[in-house]
This record gives sequence, C-alpha cells and structure tokens, in this order.
Amino acid sequence: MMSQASNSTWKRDAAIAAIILVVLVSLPFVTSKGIVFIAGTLALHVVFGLSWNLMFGQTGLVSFGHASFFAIGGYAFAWAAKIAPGIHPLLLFAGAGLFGSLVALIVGILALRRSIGVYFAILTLALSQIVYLLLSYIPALGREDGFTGIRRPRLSLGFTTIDLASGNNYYYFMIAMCTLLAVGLWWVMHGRMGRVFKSIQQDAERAAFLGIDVQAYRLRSFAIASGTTAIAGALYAPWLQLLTPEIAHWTFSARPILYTLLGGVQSFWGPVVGAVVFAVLEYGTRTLHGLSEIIIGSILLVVVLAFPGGLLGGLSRLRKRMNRKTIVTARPEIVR
Amino acid sequence: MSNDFSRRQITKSLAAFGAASAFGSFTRPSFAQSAPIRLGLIAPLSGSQEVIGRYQLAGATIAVNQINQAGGVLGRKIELVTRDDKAAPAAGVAAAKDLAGNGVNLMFGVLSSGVALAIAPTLQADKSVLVVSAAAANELTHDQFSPNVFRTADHAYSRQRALAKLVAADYPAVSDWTAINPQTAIGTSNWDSFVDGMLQFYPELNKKPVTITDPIWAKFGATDYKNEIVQLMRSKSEGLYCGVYGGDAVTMFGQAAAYGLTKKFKVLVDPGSEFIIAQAMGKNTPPGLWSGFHWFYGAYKGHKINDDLYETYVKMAGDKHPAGYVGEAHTSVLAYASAIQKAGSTDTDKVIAALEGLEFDSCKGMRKIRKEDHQAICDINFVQFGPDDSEQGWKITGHRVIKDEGLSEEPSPGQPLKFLYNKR
Amino acid sequence: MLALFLGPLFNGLFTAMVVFLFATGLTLVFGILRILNFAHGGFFMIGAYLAFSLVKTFASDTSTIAYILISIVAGIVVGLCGLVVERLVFRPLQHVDEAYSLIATYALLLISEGAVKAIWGVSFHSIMTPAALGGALIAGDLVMPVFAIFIIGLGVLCYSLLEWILQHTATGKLMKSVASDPWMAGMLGVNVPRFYAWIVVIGFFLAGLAGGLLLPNQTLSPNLASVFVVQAFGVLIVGGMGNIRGTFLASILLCVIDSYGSVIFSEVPGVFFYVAMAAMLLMRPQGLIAGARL
Repeated sequence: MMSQASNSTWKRDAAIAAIILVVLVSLPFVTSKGIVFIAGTLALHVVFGLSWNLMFGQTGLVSFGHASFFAIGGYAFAWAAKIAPGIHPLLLFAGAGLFGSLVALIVGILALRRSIGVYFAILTLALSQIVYLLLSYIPALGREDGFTGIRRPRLSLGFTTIDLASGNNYYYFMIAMCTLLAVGLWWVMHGRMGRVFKSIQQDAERAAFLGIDVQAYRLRSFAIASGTTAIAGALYAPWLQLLTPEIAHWTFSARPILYTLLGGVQSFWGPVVGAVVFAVLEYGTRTLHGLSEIIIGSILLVVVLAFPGGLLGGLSRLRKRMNRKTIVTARPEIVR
Repeated sequence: MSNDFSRRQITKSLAAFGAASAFGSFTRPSFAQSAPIRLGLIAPLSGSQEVIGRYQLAGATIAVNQINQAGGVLGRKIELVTRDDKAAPAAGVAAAKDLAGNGVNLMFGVLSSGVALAIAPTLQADKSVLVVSAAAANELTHDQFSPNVFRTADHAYSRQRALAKLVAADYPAVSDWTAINPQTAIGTSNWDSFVDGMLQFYPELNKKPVTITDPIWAKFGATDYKNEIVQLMRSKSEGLYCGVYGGDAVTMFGQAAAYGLTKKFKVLVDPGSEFIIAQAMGKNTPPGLWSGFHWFYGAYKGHKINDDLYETYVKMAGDKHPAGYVGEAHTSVLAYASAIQKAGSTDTDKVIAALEGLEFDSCKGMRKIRKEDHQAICDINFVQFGPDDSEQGWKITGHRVIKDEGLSEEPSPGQPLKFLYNKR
Repeated sequence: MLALFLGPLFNGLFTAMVVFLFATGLTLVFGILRILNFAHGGFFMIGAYLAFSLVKTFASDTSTIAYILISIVAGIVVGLCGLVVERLVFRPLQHVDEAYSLIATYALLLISEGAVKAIWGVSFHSIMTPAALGGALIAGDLVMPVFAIFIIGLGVLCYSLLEWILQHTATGKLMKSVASDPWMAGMLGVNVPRFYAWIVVIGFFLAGLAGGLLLPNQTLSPNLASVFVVQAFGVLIVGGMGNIRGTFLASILLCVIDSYGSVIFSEVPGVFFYVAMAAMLLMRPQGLIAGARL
C-alpha cells in the first residue's frame, strides 16, 4: 500500500517537475531578459518556500525569521568569495549552506528544547531582526547600501570550465542547483525522515511515546531547511551581484509563509504554486503605479477567503466534490 | 490638503500615461526610423519612496512632452516607458532587465543608491545605458564604476563639501560642529564629505582651525530620537549637521521641539531633505535651517529651461514647490536628447561615446559630464527655511547657488574615493 | 549627571508606553481570537491619518481636549472598520487553522497601505503637540517633555483601566471565560460570535485611538503601518500569549533595556530590544505572565 502510493506520487511529481524544467530551460529562447530574470529569482523563491514548508507542513515548526538564513547564506558566500577568491565556487555554495545549518543548529539547540509554537516563531523573528540590524550596521558588509561587486564565478569541472558570467550560463546553473535542492527536499519529505517529521507534526506527544527523539528530529528539520535556504541565498548573491539587508527583513520572511499558505500546506507543490501566483501578480501590476498594494492585497484576501486551505487544497476539494457528485460541506483543514 | 489632492490627480494621469506606454511597447514596431525613441524611467513608484518617484515621473514626463512639441530628436518622437523599482535592489534589476528585454536600452532615473549599485554591473551584458538622476553614492563613480553608467546629478561628495563651503563662509563665528547621523552608508559618507569640506574651507576662509565633535549615531527609520536629542543638548558645539533626512528628520525635529534643540544650535544644516521638513512641519519648521537641493527653481529665474519647467510643473501638478528630483529627471532626458542628437543614433555604444564629455544646458544651467568617471559637474543649490504666519506655515528665507569650483574630487573611476582633508 | 543615568530610563519608559498603547488592541484580539493581526499597524495608521484630517479641518489651533476628542472619534471610525473586517474576514476564517488568518491580515495590511496612499497621498505630514502639552519639565540637567509625561501617564491609565475591567467587572470575567474556553462559554449561553465581534471592534478602536494619540510624536507617511508591528508582536509574546499585564511589563522591560543599550553601544542602535526579546524567550519561554489569558 504505502510503497504503491509513494510510487505513484513519485511518478506524478517527476512528471510535473519535468514540465516545469522544460519551461524554465526554454524561457531564454522565447522571452525577454526581464522575464528570464524574474524566472531565475522565482526559482530561488520556490526553494525558499519549499524549505520553509519542510519545517511547517512537515514538522509543525513555524519560523518567522526564515529570511535571515537566506541572508546569512548570501553574505557568507559573498564575503568568502571576496577574501578567498581561489576557492572552488561549488565549495563556497556548500560552505554557505553548512554555515546556515550550523547557525540553525546552535539556535535550535538553545531554542527548540524550551520553546515551540508561537514562541519559536517570535524568537526566530527576534533573531532575524538582529541579523537585519547588524547587516545594516557592519561596514565590512556594506551596511544598508549593500555588499557590492559580487562576481559570477568561473566554474571548473575538471574536464571543462564554464564562465558563469557570460550569457545565460548563470541562469542555467541556478536552475540546475535549485532543481537539486528541490529534489533533495522532496526526498527528505518522502523518505523515512519525512515520515518521522510528519508523525511529530501530527502528534508530538505520541511520537515521543513511540520512542522518537522529537527534539532531535525538529532540530534536523530546522537545520536542513535553514541550510537549503542558505544555499538559495548564496545562489542569489551572484545572481543580483549585490546583497542588501532587506533580504533579512521580516517582510521577506513573510514571503515563504505566504507562498505556502496561498498554495497549500499539504501538498509538496503548495509553495511552488504560491510563489508563481505571487510573481505573476507582481509582474502584472508593475506598471499600475500606486495601485499595486490594493490589487495584490485584494487578490490575496479573495483567495484566502475562497480557498481557506490554499489554492491546491481548494482545488482538490473541488475535484473530490465533482467526483462524488454529492454535496460535501467544505471541511476546515486543521493543520496543527 | 489642496496640495495633496492635485498631486493625486497628477498621479492618476501619469499612471494612465505609464500604462499606455507599456501597452504601446507591444504594439509598435521598434525598428522603423519614424518609430519613437524609447527612454526607460526607473523610479520608486510604490513603496516607502513613492513620494520621490512621483517627482521623477513628473520631471521626465515634462521633458519628453517638451522635446516632442519641439519636433523630437532626429525627427523621431520620444516615448517614456516607466518601471517601478520600489527603491529595492532586486526590483530595480528586474526593471532594468525588463526594459532591456523590451528593447529599451537607454534608461534613467533611480533614486536609491542601493538600486543604482545593483543595476550598474548588469548593464554591460545587456548593452544598456543608465543615466542616474538622483542616487548620490560616491561609489558609483569610484569603486563600483561601470562604463555604462552616467550621473547627471550632483553626488554626495560635491554636495556636502558645497554645504561646508557655504557655512564656513556665512558663519565664521561657528567653529565647533557636530552631527546627528543615521547609521547608514550614505549617512556616513555624507558626514565624511562634509567634514572633509569643513577641514578645507573653514581654515582657508577664516584663518583659524575648526573643531569637529564626534557625531551622534541614530538608527535609520527610528521612531524615537529622545536619547539622541538629550545627548545633543549636552554638546558644546554650535553648529548642527542634521544627517537624518526625510521623514526621519521630521520625526526628530518634532520630538526635539520640547527640548529647545533648534534654539540651542546657532546653525542647522540638512544634507538634502529639500521641502520635506518644511512641508511636513509647517509652523514648526526649525528657523534658519539650510537644506541641500538637487535643483531649486527660485535660483534660476530668467533661465528659460528653468522657467518653462517650473510653469509646466505648477500647471500640471497644482503644486508650487517642485522638488529638485523633478529637475534632475528632466535633466537626464535632456542629456539623452542632446547625446542622441550628437551621436545621430540610439545605439548603446554611440550614445555612451556622445555622453562622455557632453556639455548641455539644463534647468540649473550648463552641466558637463566628465569623460573619465561619467560624473556631471554642476551647480549645487541650497535653500534656507523658516516658520511663517501664512497658511502654508513656512517660508523660504534665502537660497544659494554654489558653483562646483574645486568641490568635486579628481576623477578616479575604479578607485575608492580618497578624502583630501578628512584623514579618518 | 541625572540625565546620564535617568535620561535613558525616562525615554525608555516613554517608548514603552508608545509600544504598549499600540499593542493593547493587538493583545486583546490575540488573547481571545488567537489572531495575530498583521493589519493592526495598518489600522493604527488609518486612525492617525483620520486624526490628522480632523485636526486640519476643525482645530487648527489644537487644544488638548480637542486632541483627545479627535483621537476618540478616529478610534470609533476605525472600530467600525473592525466591524466590517470581522464580518467579512475574521468570521469566515474562524474555523480554519489560525495560520490562514495570517495571510488575510497581511492582505489587509497591504490594502490599508494602498488605501491611505489613495486617500491622503504619499507626502510626509506632522502635527504639533497641543500647546498645553508642549514644553518640558527640567530637573537638574534632566529634560522631560510634557508630552512624554502625558503619554507615560496615558499608558499607565490605559493599563489600569483594562486591568480593572478584566479583574473586577462582570464583562471582564466574561471575557476571561470566553478566552479560556469559548465552547463552554457558548454552552452556558454566551453569544460567542457576537462577543468576538465586540472584541474585534474594541481592538480596532484601540488601534485607531492609539493612532490619534501618538500623532504628535510620529511623522505621518504610508510607512507608519509597519513601524511598530514587530516590536508589538515581541512584547505580546514575551508578555505571555496575549495578556494585558504581561504586555505592559514586557513593553517596559524591553524598551528600557533597549534605551540604555542604544546609549551605551551607540554604534548599533536598536539591536538591544531584540537581544532582550530573544533572551527573555529563551529564559522564560512561557512568557512573563504564564498561563493567564488576558
């Protein structure tokens, strides 16, 4: 039963991923640079959202400070690339991710034992505010004007060297890396660890009773999500070639939350849908000066009122209802 | 209130204009000779800096209309394409890429230095040009120099040294200066430039040394300045450089009123809030406050470009006090027009070559873009404000034009700016 | 010397009361409905703009009484907005996980920012302190602005009043009982939905009132919406999940620490609020006042 179900999930998800990849890879041939830039940024936001949902949807941890790990990864990469330009860029990306995980481990060891739920959320918010303020005060990191002059590296792969600065090379590199990260997250969620996470999310007390070290698994979830986000942040640094403290701000931390809740918590694809919808909204309102807040706000409000379980949750309910051809009252989806 | 209402109207018409031009870009063929020349304005048209973005949009719109009424450039009309940068670097890069992708290779505007510094390194790959109309960071023409970036406005170093020259000449008795600065890159660089100017001009003009007391640092965007104000009240200095600017300055001066801060200091100067402080504070405007301006319309009466721009703006916006950003966006369009005329083409490389060393007339007189670092050499304007019994609540009590003679540094693109006198 | 030691204390207390006045409505709504209202700042801002327009229209020469009355009117208008928001947004989302109301309130924050821009424009505005509240008291070298003393007094008054209502009146007891067990309260004949509507209206009223009262202290711009919200979330949670006493104490603790921190370590102003907040959450994860709701 179990393996059959995950087998069909695997096939379906692989097919969806393949379609998305084809679209992303063909974009530079069919659209303008503006769209390609937005698509590249969107890929990073997708990883950002997916990793947040590993904590929330999978393990029941709410973080309000996820952006600080994005920023930590980005600044760590930029700083290391500046002081040690000889290091292989792949090592730098991995290092940035490990650094993000390490910070999360330290925070998690201190915090997760004692506080959970809203306390953990607000604690991460406080930490991210500290990161934000320090980034905007430290002269070596460029203060609030930002860390400038980040170069796109040359990637030597032994048999050949790719100059990521030329053409769309960096875009393709980023898409490849984001795919790897997303596959990694999928694998974690659908593997043994993911099932343990899920049992904690559903009932932490029972999981503990069954002999699961709840705190250790929460810590793992937090560290994996933070490390993944830190790599996404590191990828962002050469993409924009500049980093500003804004990427540690709480409004940026709100992004993965919005993506996930807008798209749907239960599905792996929820944050992806949410991020895409958001990007489309932003792109669509870009010339409607002065109206963008009202339009984006109203659409978000309508979506959340019409589909309280997120877009994907709403769709699947709708489909079920159509299939059964009976009226089923919309049942609230209780997540935690 | 009336002021706001009219500004809303102008925004409405400008938004319609922006939308129309966005649609236009899809329908019109862009290669025909008669097709319009499209210039891309990148400005904060939403978010925290929208108030400035609207000025930039107004100035750019007026310049485009004026040029088109006079027959265009190379027999072609100019068309304005606008993009919102939200004063955020990522949105700015997306805007520049979007413009380049739609075939708009000539861009201008940009208020925030962070946005300019983010766009600059992307331009070469996209074969685009950016003419910066406001962002003042020194780095743009130094460490972060890009051959595809020009700045037709004044920069932090020349502006703050001009301010130092003004106070050194006008207030010889005030020989001890301190500051309250935001703990930000531009806050630090403004203050360092001002100190550099003071250390040069004060001894030169007054034959005696000047004392600079360590500044008080405040959080950017702070809501409470009382601790900082208390520290300032204990200062022995007589001149106050109020480095917190814009809305922060309004908050700071509002809270300082109860302490009598404005009476304690003999001279108050501000790096560049323009009308913001006076317009927000009305009768509470600190008396005698000198404010830095990109362009002050009152200083160039009788100069045709200035008068036409002023009158058109007042008619369009119903607002009698255009901020300097109006003039600077206007200037950037004029610079493009004159460079395209000179180049005989809108080709990126030819326009860059034409902009280098370009001398052109603008709302504040002749400007010259230096070939080496792409920085324009132009006048610096200052206005002095005070409270008033009129309904407006404030008045202009003086203004000054400082010519850039020995204000700007020697060009050194690619190198960090070296202060001549301030050895910090 | 006095100013050196007591100055930061006085200024910290003042900021604390500003944050507390902002956070009262937030605490009430969170304490009872469990909704973390991102839009609170948006409606606080609308209250401030309404008060600004009223002052400009009716009271060019502001007296203290006019200023307080105007703030109350602004509070009432915002409270009515709260009624609409409760009906259209909060009530439909009541049975869905709390997390979804987060997007709804975030959307409301965006809408309120957009609305303020459309109605009042994007320019900066400010209002003078009423004449009677201008000036300052001076003790040695310690300068205490009258307006700051007024706000501190107002904060303490507001706290005492809420505390008295909660502890000593029937309404307060009802509120506490619904907060701790809405199902049981419903069984015992309380009209819980109407009760929730009232709480939201009062919470919004407090937001609008605070917007009006704090107007002379702040610059008006559409950015005002997000200025206090993170600090308010901080005191709300450090205080202990939405109880008024905890919020009050946490405001004082965090703001006074931040005030001294920003004076002593002036290179990093504003960081100590969050350092203290993180430390408090680690030391007392259950909050300052644990267990009690409201």
